[in-house]
Amino acid sequence: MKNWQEINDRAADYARPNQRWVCGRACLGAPCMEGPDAHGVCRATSECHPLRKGDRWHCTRPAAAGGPCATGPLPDGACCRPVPRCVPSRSLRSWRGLTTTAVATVTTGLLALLLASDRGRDFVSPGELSFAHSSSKSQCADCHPGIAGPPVAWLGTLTNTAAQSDSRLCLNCHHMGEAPFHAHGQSPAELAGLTQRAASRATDGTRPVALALGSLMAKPAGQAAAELACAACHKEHRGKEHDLKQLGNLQCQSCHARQFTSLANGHPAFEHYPFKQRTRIIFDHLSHLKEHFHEAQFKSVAPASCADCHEPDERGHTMQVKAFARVCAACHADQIHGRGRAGAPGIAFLRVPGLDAATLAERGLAVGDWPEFAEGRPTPFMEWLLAGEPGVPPALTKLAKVDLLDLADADADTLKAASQLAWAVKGLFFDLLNGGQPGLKQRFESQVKSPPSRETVADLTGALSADVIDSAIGNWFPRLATEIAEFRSAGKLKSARATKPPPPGKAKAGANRVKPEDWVESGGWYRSDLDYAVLYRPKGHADNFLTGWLSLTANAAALRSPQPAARVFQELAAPKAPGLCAKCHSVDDHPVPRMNWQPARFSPARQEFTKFSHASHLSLLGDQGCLSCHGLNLNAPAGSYLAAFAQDNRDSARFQSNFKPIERNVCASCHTPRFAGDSCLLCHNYHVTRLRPATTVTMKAKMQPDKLTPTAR
Amino acid sequence: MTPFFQRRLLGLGLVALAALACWGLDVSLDLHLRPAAAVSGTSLLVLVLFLTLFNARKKLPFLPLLPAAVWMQIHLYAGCFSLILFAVHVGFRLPGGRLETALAVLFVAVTVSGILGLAISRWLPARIRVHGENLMFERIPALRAALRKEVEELVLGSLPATDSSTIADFYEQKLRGYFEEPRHLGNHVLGYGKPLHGILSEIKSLDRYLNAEERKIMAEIEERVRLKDNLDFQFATQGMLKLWLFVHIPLTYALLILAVLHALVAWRVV
Repeated sequence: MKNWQEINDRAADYARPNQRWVCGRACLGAPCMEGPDAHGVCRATSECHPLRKGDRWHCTRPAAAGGPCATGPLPDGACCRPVPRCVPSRSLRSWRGLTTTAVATVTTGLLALLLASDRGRDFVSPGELSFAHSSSKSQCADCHPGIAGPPVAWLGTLTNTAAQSDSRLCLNCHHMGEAPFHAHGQSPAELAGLTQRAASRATDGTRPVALALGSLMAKPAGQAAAELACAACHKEHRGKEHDLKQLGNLQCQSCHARQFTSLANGHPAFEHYPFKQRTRIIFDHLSHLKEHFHEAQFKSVAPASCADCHEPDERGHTMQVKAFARVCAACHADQIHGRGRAGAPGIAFLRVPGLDAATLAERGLAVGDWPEFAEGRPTPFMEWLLAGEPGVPPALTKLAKVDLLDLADADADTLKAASQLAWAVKGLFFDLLNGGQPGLKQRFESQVKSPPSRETVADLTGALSADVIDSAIGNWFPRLATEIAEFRSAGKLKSARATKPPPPGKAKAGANRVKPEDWVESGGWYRSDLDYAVLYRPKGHADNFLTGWLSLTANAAALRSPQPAARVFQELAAPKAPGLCAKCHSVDDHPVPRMNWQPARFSPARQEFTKFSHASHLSLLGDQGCLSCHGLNLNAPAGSYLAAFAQDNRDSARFQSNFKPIERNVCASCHTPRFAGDSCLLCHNYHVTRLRPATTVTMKAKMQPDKLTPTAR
Repeated sequence: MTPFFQRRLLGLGLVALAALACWGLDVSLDLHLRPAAAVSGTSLLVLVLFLTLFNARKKLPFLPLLPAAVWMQIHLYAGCFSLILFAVHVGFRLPGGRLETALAVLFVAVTVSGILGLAISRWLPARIRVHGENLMFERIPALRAALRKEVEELVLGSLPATDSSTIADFYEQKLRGYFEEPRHLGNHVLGYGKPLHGILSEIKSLDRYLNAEERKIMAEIEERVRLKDNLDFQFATQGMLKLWLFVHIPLTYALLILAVLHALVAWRVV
């Protein structure tokens, strides 16, 4: 077969594929020599450009076009063979360029139209929002500041890198504590402490290879004082079903000083888990289980199982102690009431101290009527109530070691102090009689740094009745009104010698009248003429008077007269004090000195580092029940539990638990990847804070008067 | 092992190592809560821009920037790597948003067209070399016109020479359309020879009705039928070698435009 494509510079035209235009007659096999210009305009004129040599014109048609023609140029030098103009066609390369330009233009145009429209936002959105964040009203600007309106309006903010500022918008709805962008919501100083503690703990595992290799290429995002954006962990725009809280175990550990492979392999051993401090309610499980529940008088009412005293909270997470009335009252209610008590069942609130009134009268410091057989000292309550009166605290200090019943050898200052005390006591009784509970309230307010609430005053006064004070004064200071009026106007009594008071008035009673302390067996105020005291008998468990005074004086340092307040507290918290409050209720110093009235309560909104749901695990208990996990610490020294609650120990971190700490392998036996799972997030929280919904901006906006009418949706 | 195979093995090995390093970096960044997608996405955008430069390099042959053949090799291996980088960037899952979906579709389309183009450019030239005379693509229309003119002259010359219209009638019915325009392009690309065989069979079946003179003319026409077949083959295969770029290059620019938009939106929230 012949080769019919001749390729040489003389025989064939030179085709340039990179040219944009091709002669329109090329497809006919007769392209002109010129070819179109760059703009696609035909430049054809004739088949040759005649050349003049001497006086003759010569044809210069190339060999590829047939060589010089037979006719030759015209006499005027024009070619005799004109070529009609053609319609140039584009080369393939030109068409390709056009196609590319068209596609790019159409793409840009469509994008511009889309971005400028209302649908632009949907187009640019990288995916559906999760259920929690999606609503028909959600806008990009809800989470991405500066992005409002159609996407074309965002161009002005494109240079802002916004992970941190986006995170601040998250706080409009999610309140994450005081340090929301630091790891675990802890301040850098707290984190440093936690890191130091973690680094010092031993581990039996090895560092995961992925983390070891990864640390060569990247540094963790949330270490030290670095701020961590919310989006670092919470990936949105991954569809409605996406779990925003999903995070891998290795990701959790990337910032940690101690890294390990799994719960069973390398997880730090549990230290004293779950016991970080002593119990708030003093209850020695060992002594109760071993001894008290088996005593004959209590056997019938003793609990048979843990569930008799403990129940899950409403969420099923923690086990709460049931109320006193349901679990403790059967054995302890009588003790609190004071039934069968050897000493006085009531608390002496007011007491007329014993005083050598005769000596005072001889020395010109008569104090008027004074019970002859009074022997006691002023109660701590009285000392506290009198602490605000000028001269009384120094007088009390001076008389602290003085025998007030024998002042014969006392010096003048002592006698003066004794006189001052006596008149202060009388003044107190007089003011109580006339001022009543409002008068008491005034004395309270003078001793505390902030005004007490109405309920606190009610607790502290214990519904003190006028009659008990009236009868006390009537029996002990029958001429009190006259004497006080005389003393307060003249500064002393007119008569310097004590006169015998008239006999006290007394209502006639039957032969079998019960004693005053038994008369108020259900609680209340009574007078004792044996020691000249006004006493209060507790109503029972959670008596308001006792709880009020103990709560007030537990933090004596916060009151104006800390020493008398501390003595009030010591009196009420004594091991044998009426009510026996301190027998079961511990006192802690942290965060502030306080009496623990309730067992530990965990706010549902508060997230700690670890979380555990008892309800999820109760069905897994074996024959041992709660002891499956909470083993009794039978090897603890006898009495060591109660020793931690000695009065001089208010540090709740110093304790000896009745139970052994839970060990890691107890949990790891079920929490494997194959069974219950060992994700960090099963047992740990990242955000360690009190979660509460923040008041959103929109809520605040609708509180304005001009926006009270709701707009239609 | 041939040098060609060694080079390919080395190239693919480097791509595999780079892919492994890239994946490892992505995993590390993700483990450490860093914006891994931003890093991989930025790298991918830079890589795609670099891949686009190959087209510019071909238009600037006067610049001393390595031969185009070397650029081609770099383009191919970088393209393979970009596919892996893309998979790492999207996290080995389907994208969610409309822009991202459009971007993914375009990226896949560009990649697939590139792979097909690579296959075509390896498969067709070998066939072109052995099929027949190699012709310049730009001259094929002129050669087609010249061939048609030759055949028509033969046909017209057969009328007085043979005093018969057999050949003319046959040409009019069976061959005129064949010589007027490119035919059976798809079959030529796929390598099917059935159409030519069909025409030659028909010519052969006509042979019994021809006399000696007519047979001579018919033999000339048959030769030109074979020439036309080669012409069409050359046109189809060389055209395919040029036409695949009509898909690959425009889609690339559309991809770039969407990629830049995606980058601007993504950087805004990183």
